[in-house]
Amino acid sequence: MSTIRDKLREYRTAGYYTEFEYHWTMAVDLDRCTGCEACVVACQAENNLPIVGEKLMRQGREMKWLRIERYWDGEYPNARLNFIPMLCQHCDEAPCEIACPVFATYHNQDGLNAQVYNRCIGTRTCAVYCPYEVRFFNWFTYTWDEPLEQQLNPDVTVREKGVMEKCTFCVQRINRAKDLARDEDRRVADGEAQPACAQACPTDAIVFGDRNDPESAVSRKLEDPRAYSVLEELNTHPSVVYLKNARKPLAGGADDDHHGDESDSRASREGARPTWERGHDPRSGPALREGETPSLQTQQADTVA
Amino acid sequence: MLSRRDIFKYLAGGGVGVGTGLLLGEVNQRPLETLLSTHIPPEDFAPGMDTWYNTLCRMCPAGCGISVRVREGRAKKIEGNPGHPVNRGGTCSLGQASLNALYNPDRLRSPMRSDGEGGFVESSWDEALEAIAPRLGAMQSAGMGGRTWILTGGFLSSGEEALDKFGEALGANILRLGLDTPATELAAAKAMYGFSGLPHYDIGSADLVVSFGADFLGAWRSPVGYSKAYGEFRQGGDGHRGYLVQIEPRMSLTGVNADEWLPARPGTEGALALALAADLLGRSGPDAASVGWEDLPGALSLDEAAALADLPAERLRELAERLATAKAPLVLGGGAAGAGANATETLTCVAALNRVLDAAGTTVRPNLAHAPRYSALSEIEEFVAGAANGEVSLVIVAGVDPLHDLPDSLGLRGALDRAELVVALDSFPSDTASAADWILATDTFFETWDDDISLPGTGKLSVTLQQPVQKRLYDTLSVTDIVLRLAQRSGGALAEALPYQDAEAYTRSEWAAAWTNLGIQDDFDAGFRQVQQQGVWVADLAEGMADQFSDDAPAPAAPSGPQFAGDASEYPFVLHPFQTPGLREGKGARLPWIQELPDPQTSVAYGSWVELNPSTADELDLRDGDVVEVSSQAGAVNAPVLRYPGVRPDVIAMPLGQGHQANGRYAQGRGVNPASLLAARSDDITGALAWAATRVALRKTGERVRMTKTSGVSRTLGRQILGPDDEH
Amino acid sequence: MSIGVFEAARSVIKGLIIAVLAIIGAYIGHWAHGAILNDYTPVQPIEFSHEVHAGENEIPCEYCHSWAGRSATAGVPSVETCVGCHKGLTEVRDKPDVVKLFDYWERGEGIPWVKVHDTPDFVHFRHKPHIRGGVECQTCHGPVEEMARVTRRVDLNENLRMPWCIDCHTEEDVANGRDCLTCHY
Repeated sequence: MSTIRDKLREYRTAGYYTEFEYHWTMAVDLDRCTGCEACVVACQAENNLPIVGEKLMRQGREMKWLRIERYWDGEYPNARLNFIPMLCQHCDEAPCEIACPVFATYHNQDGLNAQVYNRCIGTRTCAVYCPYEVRFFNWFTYTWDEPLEQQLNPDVTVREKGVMEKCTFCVQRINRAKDLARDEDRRVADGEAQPACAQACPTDAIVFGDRNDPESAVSRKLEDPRAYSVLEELNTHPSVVYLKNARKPLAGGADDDHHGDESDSRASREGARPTWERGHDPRSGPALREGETPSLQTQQADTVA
Repeated sequence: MLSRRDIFKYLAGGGVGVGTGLLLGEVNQRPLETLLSTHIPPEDFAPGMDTWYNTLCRMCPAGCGISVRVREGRAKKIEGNPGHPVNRGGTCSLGQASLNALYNPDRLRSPMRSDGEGGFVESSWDEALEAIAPRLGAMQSAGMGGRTWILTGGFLSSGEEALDKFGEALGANILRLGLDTPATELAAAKAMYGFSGLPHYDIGSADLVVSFGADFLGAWRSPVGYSKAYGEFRQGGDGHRGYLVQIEPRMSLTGVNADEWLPARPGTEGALALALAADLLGRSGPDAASVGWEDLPGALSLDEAAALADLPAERLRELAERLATAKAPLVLGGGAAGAGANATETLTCVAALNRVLDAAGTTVRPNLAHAPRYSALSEIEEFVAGAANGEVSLVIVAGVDPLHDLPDSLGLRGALDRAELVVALDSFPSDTASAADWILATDTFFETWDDDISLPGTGKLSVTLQQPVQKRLYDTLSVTDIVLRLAQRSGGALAEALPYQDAEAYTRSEWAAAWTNLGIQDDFDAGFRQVQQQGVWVADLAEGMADQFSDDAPAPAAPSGPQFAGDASEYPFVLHPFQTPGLREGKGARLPWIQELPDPQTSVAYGSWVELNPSTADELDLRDGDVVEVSSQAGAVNAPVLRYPGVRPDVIAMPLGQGHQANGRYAQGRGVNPASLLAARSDDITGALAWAATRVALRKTGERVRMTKTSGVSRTLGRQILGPDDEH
Repeated sequence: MSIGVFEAARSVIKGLIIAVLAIIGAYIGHWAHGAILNDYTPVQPIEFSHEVHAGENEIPCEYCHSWAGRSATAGVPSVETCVGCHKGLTEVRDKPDVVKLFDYWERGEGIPWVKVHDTPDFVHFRHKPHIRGGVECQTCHGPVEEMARVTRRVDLNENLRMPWCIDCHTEEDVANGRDCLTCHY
């Protein structure tokens, strides 16, 4: 019994792997991103995301592994809108992986946060633990109006009721690239594996690749001084890194009114080096602190009385 | 203790259990699946493997090259063609969703005949062609071809060429329709650059872009091509970061991404551009001699222009300073600024500013001297009048939906009602097709042959080939096929003009003829096969093929002031219709992925809304979701209010594209169509429809709805989601 | 008539025992169905004999299932492939199943073969890596060349269930062979 318990503890530790074979990473340049949402539809097309319909969408049951979040700054005429694409961050120390009672979500040797549909029993704990709100639950078995189902990607499972799902970094494409590389007995070359969103992006805002390769395009992006992680203070060590928009801040527009009670989290940020530079002890576990930060924009629709 | 009787009971229980288990196992068998073998496999058939075809996206006139992933004979995914000069591997949301058109459950599967009571019955191609061709033959022999009107769009393609030849041989009238056409931009380019075509805007190599209303990242002309350039403009390899200023009454997607957004009063953009040009001419900076103008008579001073446009004079002076010091400035004009009553004057002033900046010839360059043609409002009126007088025998509507896309005030619905026979060539029961006597079901662009000359282009001559990526799903034909068959059946000059068997043979012969004309002597079959593989044929513009810009145009006159249909006292707001990247003029509404895609700025899906400045909304006591009636001289629609911080207080903005009366389950009856509010007002010079020149009034209905909207909190609340604050 | 508390409890316990036995029985039955009884031999539209083609005539598997080494799916031969050989084989032309084949050929239809070795939709089995790794076709499909009608034999491959896959992946030390994302995505 004790070995089982030890094993459990080992698996439960976020960042189980000491080193990754590939460390798939995405860099999103917010200065290039225009919020056009080509990536959102590309993701829907590639990953067999259902069309939930107006009624369910209004209930906040939209299924979009990748969404564009919008944050306003200032008021007319000095108003400014900022976009940020939000998707599964494939955290190296993912809160969701600690939560799942049946190990349906775990970290694999390539740095991917995996979601195994046939293991998932639908407790939805992972979605509660996820600070990025990027996990989606199948409340229904969705169907496609005939013949729309002929478009479905045969390389991706069609999920059914009771299963949690989320962005996979288009693992079917990664697997295909790895398969071709195996044929030639080499590693996957930079740019060979591209998720649908990165491939569709008309401004090349999304760069995807292997962080273990110091020459890869994404590794070079990580060196940009604009690079940061969202909710860095949670120590989730995301594999999605954002490059801050280089626009000058709005004169007097930054939502100063709301700065209120965040001195705490700012203190923790000071002196902190970016996550991707910091060597971390994989067994150390996440440094989650209670009630630290409000969660991101939720998927709930506005309610009108 | 254990009686014999009990043992039997236990055994029976166990037995029943085993039986149930066996039965469960039997029931839980995986369903029987079949593995259908091919009869004769196509040469490129590979089960379980992808086949990629390079072809053309026809969702908008930009003409991007796409690669379609095909598995076991079915198109699965759209990617951008990395070798295509327009989109260079990128796609937009509408292009990504175009597979929804191919597999749409409401696509027409065979020719349909109207039953006279608003419904349609299935028919056959023989029957359909037989109902139309004899009529054409008779008109042709009687020399009455002028009683036929062909309504089509503005693509520059072999397919359109076939329609042209057809119309010419018959002597028919052709109307080229669209809401947001480049007519005013073409007129301005002619006036200022002496160039008859759409110029090429090199955003990627500019360091300052000032855009008057052109939403080039959202829905203007070639959003993917411009977005590619925008990426380089922002974070190019050489380390410079371009600066973007957007001047428009409602913050478009481009406005959202701009460094500065200046909400100028609608219709004053021309005066602003001219004032900036005059200010720059007055400095010693840009070489006044090269433009040949001493000064610009009639130009306002910066302060006067700022007052007219309702902008802080300080901001305008800063902008002039930026323009004066920029190394590679570029000024764009379009969108609503190119659709007012003074649109051509406005865009002419914008072009003049480019000349003063010496941008003309550097960041604004000549493109293919091949102008798409669009019908002026007067030609549409001629058609409507002809129909009213009973002079229209046959209307052929080829792939456009004017009853939805164009204002009701043009009277097109009445004209189609009065025409003797209306034939719509469409793959969907669109609003216009539903009003026709016959709908000839057409292929989607995944199933047939055509091509497209990229406009606005790339500074090069690039022609994209459209080829079938899979077999036809239904009993459909392409527009070209239908035109060819009609011509063959009608005989006479029509049959002579179009002696081709099908769209493939026709397209190939057009390419062969074009290459012969250009003096390309290579083996045609080999060359064409290469184009089929690459999806596009690119040639550098040879000398003489592109008109050069001339620099002897006279200085522009001061533009006339903004004018709108409707009195300001009765209709206090200017209506600003806009296109979203997905819906555009309405083509996206039938695609479920687009319906379910939240609008980039507002996150609204599945419907229409009315954008109001929060201060205006407060004044009228309106909250999000309050339904208002928006009325103009031309009509009225009801839609919910959305408070939008990026719109002028005297302007209300509404998205185009929804409000279909037909067009399948995803589009029908959803939202409202602001095009129905537009007055039949035209641009003073070109006569093109001025779709941004209507005033409207608002009335609170008291009704309230819940909008389908995905975003909740729209402020970061200090969470530094957008990056660590620099100042701390 | 009155029933004592003790007697009532006894009958309840008896009922419970029966229920528990029934549940255990159901489990055994379900297991037996999958593990012992469930050889799967569907009837095919054409009584094609692998015993004749692959066994007696020694046609290599990849002659017909030509995509196995290159693609995720091995593929079934096109009707054209069948007819290509059988056009010359006039001596068997009159056999009823060959007649059926030529009927399909003349009607221009494909043959709706019934899948025998099938995995659920959430399993992305790929032939290519297995062939590349030197796995014999027979390892998973059994001695097809001895089968007149193809059977999925439960004693050979446990109905292609996951433990069987994992055992082999473990024994052969397949790279990432036990990572879920190798097959489930």
